[in-house]
Amino acid sequence: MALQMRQMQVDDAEQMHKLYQQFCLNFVGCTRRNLKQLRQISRKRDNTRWVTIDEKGRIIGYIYAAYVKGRRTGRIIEIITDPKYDFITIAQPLISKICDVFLEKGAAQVQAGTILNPHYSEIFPRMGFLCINTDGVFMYTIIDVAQFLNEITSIIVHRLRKLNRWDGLLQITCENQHKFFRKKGDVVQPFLSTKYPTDCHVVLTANTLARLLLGAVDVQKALTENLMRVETTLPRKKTDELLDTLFPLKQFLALDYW
Amino acid sequence: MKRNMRCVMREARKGKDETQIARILSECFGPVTPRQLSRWLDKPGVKDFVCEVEGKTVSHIDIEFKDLHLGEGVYLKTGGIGGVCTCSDYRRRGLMTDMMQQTLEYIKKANVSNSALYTGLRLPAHRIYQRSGFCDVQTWPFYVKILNFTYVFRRWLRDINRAIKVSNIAQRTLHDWNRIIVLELKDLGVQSIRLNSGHFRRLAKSPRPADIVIATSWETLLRIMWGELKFEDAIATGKIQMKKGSAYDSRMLKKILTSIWDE
Repeated sequence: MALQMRQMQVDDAEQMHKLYQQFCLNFVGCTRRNLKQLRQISRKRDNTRWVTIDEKGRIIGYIYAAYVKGRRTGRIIEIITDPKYDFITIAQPLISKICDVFLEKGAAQVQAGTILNPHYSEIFPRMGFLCINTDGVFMYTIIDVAQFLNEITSIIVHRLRKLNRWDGLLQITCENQHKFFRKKGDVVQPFLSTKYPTDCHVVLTANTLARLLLGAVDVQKALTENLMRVETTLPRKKTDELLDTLFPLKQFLALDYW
Repeated sequence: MKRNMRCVMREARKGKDETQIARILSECFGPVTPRQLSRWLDKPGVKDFVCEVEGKTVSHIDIEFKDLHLGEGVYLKTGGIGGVCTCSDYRRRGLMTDMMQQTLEYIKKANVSNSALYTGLRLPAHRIYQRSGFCDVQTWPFYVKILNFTYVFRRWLRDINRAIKVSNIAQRTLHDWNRIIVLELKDLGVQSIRLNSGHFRRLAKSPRPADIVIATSWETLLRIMWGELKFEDAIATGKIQMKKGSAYDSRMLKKILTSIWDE
C-alpha cells in the first residue's frame, strides 16, 4: 500500500466531507459538519492541515491542527480516516508530520484534546505525550421525550431490520411515552398505539435512554443495575440479542466543543 | 443579599450587552473581550441570554444549535448550552438554576427535544446541571507533550495573572495572601515566585527565607489543573511534598492550581 501525504487544498473539501460522514457512522456524539466548514478548514494557508492519499489519489485520511503563535501551542483538533483502513496506520504518520511542523514553528507544547477516540491511547503515549484523564464531562438531557422518541424512530427501525430470525411486536416506554414497532421480515412499522400484546416491552427513563444511545452504558449492565426493565415472552437469548441490536455499545466521540 | 431577588432573563442585545457579558465571562473562564463576544453574537444559530438583577447584568448563558450523531447516520438537532456563568457576588442564590430551566423551556419551544453541554465534574455548576435533569455521558482524556518547560511555566504564570485580574472572587481570595513560593520542579529545576496583591512575579533568584516550599513535578501540577488528581491526594501520596507552608497556604495553592475560587 503506497500512501502519500500532502498539504490540504480547497478542492479536497468535498472528499473530506464524505470521509467525515463515513467516519462518524462508527461513532455517536459527533456533530454534523457541512461543506462550508470543511472548505474553511482546507482554505487556510498553513502547513498544519494534511491529507493522506492512496495510490489512486483518493483522500483516505486527514489531520486538522492549528498553531497558536502567541501561546507557542500546537493543537491537534481532528484526525479523520477512511473506516476501511486501519486508523493507526493512517493517523500515526499524520501526527508525526504535524509534530515536526510544530517543532519547526517553535512550539513549546502540543495538545490533542479530541473526545474520545479509543485509538488515541494507542498512538499518543507512544509518541511521548502525557495522558491526563480530565474531569471534563459531556452532559445530556432529553427535554421532550415524545418528540425524542419520534426522532430516534428511524434509528430503531434501522437496527431492528438488522435483527435476523425475529418477527414480533416491540414496545419502548420512556417516561410514560410509548412507541411500538412491528417487525415482519425486513419490514419494520413504527406506530403510537396498538391493541395487540407485545412480545417485548422495554421500560426505561429518559436518562437511561440517552446514556444507552450515547454509548455511556452497556445495555446488559443497565439491566443488571435495574436502570431499565424488560417484560418479555421471548426466550432469554433472543431478548438479549434484541436488546444488543437495539442499543449497541457505540463509542462516544465528540470532535468539537461548543 | 436576599435569596429571592427579582431577576429578569432576556436575550442579549448586540451592540449593548457585550461589555457586561465579557465581564461576567472573564470572571468564570478567563479573559474575554467585548470584541470577541461581538464576533460570537454574529455567529448564525447562536442565542445568548442574560439575567438582570435590579438592572445589573449578573448571569449569562448561550445556546448553539448543533446536529448530533446518534447512530445509523441520524443526526438530531440539539440545544448546545455554553458560557454558563454568574457574577461571583450573585452566586448561590438560585439564579442559574432558574435561568437553566428557562433556557431548557426555550430550547423545547424551538422544537428541539434535547440539550447537551460540556462542564467539569468538580465545578459547582455540575450540581446545577444535574438538578436541571442532565446526566453525565462521558469524561475524556487529554494528551499533551511539553517541549519547552520554561516557556510553558512562564506562560502559565501569565495566564494566571490575567485570570486573577479579571476575577473579583480571585482577587478577594488572594487579597491578603502575599507569599514567596519556591517550587522545586523535577523537570524544570527550582522556580521562585512572589505573589503580591493577587499578582505573581517570577523571581530570578531563590529568596531566603521562602514562605512556601514545594517539591513536585510539572506532570503532577498538570494533572491537578486538569482535574485528574486532587490536590489533597497529591499531598497524601507524596506527589507533592509541602516542605514549608501552612494548611491555609495549601488550600490557597489548591484554588490557584484548579482555578476554582468558590468554597
